Amino acid sequence: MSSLFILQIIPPGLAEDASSHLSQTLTVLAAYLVVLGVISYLARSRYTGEFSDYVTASRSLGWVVTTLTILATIWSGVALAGFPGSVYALGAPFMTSVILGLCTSAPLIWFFGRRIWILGQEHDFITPGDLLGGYYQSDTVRVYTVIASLVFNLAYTVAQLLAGGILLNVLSAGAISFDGGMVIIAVVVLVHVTTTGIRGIAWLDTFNGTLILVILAVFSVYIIRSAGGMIHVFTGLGRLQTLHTSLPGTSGIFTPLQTLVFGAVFVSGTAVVSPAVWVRMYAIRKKEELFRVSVAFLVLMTLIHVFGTYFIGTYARVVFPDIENPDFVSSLLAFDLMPFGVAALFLVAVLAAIISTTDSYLHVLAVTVVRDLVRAVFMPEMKKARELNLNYLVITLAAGLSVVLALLYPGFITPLAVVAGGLTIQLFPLLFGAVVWPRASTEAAIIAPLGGVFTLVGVRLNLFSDPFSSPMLPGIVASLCVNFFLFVLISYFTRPQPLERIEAFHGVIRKNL
Amino acid sequence: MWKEGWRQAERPDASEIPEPYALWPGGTDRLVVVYFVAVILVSYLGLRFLGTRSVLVGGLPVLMLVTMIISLLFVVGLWLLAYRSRGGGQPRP
Repeated sequence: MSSLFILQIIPPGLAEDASSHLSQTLTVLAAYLVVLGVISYLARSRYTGEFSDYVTASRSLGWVVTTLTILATIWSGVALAGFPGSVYALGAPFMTSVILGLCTSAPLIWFFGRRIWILGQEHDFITPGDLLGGYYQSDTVRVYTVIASLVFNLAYTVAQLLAGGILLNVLSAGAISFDGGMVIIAVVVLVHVTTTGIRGIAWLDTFNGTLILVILAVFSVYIIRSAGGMIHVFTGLGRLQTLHTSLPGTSGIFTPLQTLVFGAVFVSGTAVVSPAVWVRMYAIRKKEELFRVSVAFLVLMTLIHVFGTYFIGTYARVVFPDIENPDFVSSLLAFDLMPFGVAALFLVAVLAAIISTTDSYLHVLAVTVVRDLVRAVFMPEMKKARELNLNYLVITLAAGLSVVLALLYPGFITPLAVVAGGLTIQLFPLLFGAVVWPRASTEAAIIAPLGGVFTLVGVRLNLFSDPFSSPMLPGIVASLCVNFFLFVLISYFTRPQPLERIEAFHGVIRKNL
Repeated sequence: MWKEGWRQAERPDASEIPEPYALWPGGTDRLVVVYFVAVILVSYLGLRFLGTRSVLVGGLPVLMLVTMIISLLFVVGLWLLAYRSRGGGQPRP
């Protein structure tokens, strides 16, 4: 769900303001880093140093922690700053589309999450590749999950580092260089993840998620107070109010169908089959808690998007009607309306979201590469202690590679990240077959995603037109439709999995639901 | 070593798949599916006929109110699902 279109989230002039209030910004930043250190220390004391604890926290996460870790993971820092910018530019329909996507995500998290959890418990699965590769008995399918994880997590990690580098540069009033800021974030994340495992990530996410919720609530109070009442946030738009507050929005692209389908496909896809969220399904303590996770996730996200993100983007349009880069609006408005210290805290909340996304994505990237490529293909007899050490090595390499990519190819990452989201969604039909539809065949699982990816890349490269004409993310809906169509068609012309395999998956799910 | 176990596996005919694993759910599960489909349809109609109006209700644009109501309907659907999974619906065959 991260907004990745533009990575410059803070106006350059803000650094000058920061330098005139340096003691306040550094105090806020230092306070956050102290909390991060304390959480890291506490999580370290619970960390057993065993592989299962590193990957799934020994399957012991409660529903509050799981909800907030999912929220903080998929809600990146770039999105926290960038979504108000999209509201500023596109109006209320953008927010409606995202929230409708969250609405469809919540029952899907509940529906697929329980099935993933059951199979994880029964077969000791810890990655998407364990489940899909296991059901379809195919290393090709398993490697699909590795490719999706690698591209998705790497692209989004680089995007976060780029945004984080700018942020630290501004918060330190230029004392920390842009490059240095990226390295600092990568090192902090690396130390935190390798010394605490997913429990540390989840605990930090819980704090970060809470910080984001609180600061957005405070922000909305300042907005309503400044406008002189909630109604004036919208009437202040003047002649723009009609276009900005209703479909099809200021750009005219949000028809009712477009609004519904874009949200449902993209947000659901990235929220449900994103590797980081998938691994959290294994880590939750009881499957019954997924109900609370789904409800809390939906309620919190709806409230903060309506009263936080939407209000920020709309009121920024009232206060700053002509802004060069809409992604600046949240930070500009924060410093315009709130005391300097609180506004600095908003920037620290963006940094917190960046750290939460980065730690989760690097963690799951290493886990999937080691488990589903190195172990499954090259070293099937690898001991768990060695697998853990290999995870430490791979995550270190991935963090280093992310910094290098951010330094060398910052412009290339944005389009790659948009395609990466579309790639991950192609795993959806495969998951559907493995936990819902026993008629699914391995031939379908191998061929159909290729059809989806071909369609996605073809539309992105303008080799053919997008039949669904989805301006927000061209090709995503079409590629998923092609994938599902091929998946069902090929399955009907080929044979399903052996009966014992169907029993080990669909039978176990049915017995334990 | 690259493994494609499915190529050596004895795979049955589709007709041999046990019937309880059918895609289309039975009993109250079916009602829950119908509920969510109905909510999506209502969402579309809400966007089509209310979301296109630039009216403020209670200080909020009607599009945002429609969005929050849809979200609430999904929460109710989740409650139905949870009720069903706790055995609140009719027993499975």
